[in-house]
Amino acid sequence: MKVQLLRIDDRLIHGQVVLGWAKPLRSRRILLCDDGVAANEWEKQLYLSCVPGNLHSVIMNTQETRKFLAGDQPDLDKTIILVKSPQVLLQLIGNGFKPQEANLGGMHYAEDRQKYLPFVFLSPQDVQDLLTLTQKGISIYCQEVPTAKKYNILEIIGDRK
Amino acid sequence: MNSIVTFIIAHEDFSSALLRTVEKILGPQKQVFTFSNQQDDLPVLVQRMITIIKKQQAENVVVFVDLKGGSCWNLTGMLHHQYPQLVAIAGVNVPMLVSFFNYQDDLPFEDLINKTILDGGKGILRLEY
Repeated sequence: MKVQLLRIDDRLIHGQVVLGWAKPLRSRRILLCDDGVAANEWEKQLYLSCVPGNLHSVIMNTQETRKFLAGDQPDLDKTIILVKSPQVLLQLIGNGFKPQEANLGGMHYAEDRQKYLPFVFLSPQDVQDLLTLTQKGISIYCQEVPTAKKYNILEIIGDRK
Repeated sequence: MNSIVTFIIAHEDFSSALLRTVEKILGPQKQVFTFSNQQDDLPVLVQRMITIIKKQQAENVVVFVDLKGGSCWNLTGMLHHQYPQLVAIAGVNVPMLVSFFNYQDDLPFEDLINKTILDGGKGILRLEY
C-alpha cells in the first residue's frame, strides 16, 4: 500500500503539515520518524501537542519505522510520514519499502547549508543523499503546501551540483 | 518595577510588524526581540535566544507566540526546555501587547501576565451600535 505523503521537513510536525496537508488529504495518521525525538520524552510531548485530536499520531525511531513499513499496515494510504532529512529517508528505503515519490517540504538555514529555494537550504551531503534517492527511482518534489508551486528536485540542484 | 526580556516569535515578518505597530502607539520599548521562523533552523534560533537571555540578565522572560501548534510554538517549547522559567503566551495580538507594555512597570509580574492574557481576549469583539 502506498504511503499517502512521505515528507522531508526539518520542522517535523507543524502547521503546514497538520493544517496544510492533513486536512485536504483527510489523513488519519501522522508518523514522525526521528531517532532524536523518539529518545526524548519532552520533545515527544512537544510534537504530539501540535496534533489535533482527529489525527492519530505516533513517534518512532528509524529502526521501529523500518519494521512498521515492512509489515502489512492498514491505512498507509491515509498516513503522513515525516522525516527531518534525506538521510533518514534513505535509511527507510529497502526491506520491501520502495516509495515512488517523496515531498521535500522544508529544510532551513544552517551553517553548512546553501539556499536553493526560500524553504530549501541544503548541505553538500543533503544534495548527495537526494541524488541517491532519485537514482533509486524516487521522484522528489519541493513543495511547502498542496496549493503552492511544485519544483522537481533535479531542476533545483541540477545546475549547482 | 519588573525587569523583563520579551520575545515575540511569529511566522513571516509578523513579529517585527507587530512590534512596529505597538511602538507606533506607545513609543519605543526596551528589551524586546522579534523572531521569524522563516529561514533559520530552529536549534540555531534557540541558541540565539539563550545568548540574549544571558546577556540581558533580566529577572523574567516572556515569550509571545502567534499560533499554538506551529513551528513558532515548537521553537518556544525547545527554548522552554533550556530555560524553564520563561512564561509563554500564544495568540499574540495588538491589544495584548499594548496592555503588557502599558502595565509592565505598574503590576507585580504574575498580575501583569494575567492582565495581558485577559486584555488580549477583551480586544476581540464584534462592532455593535
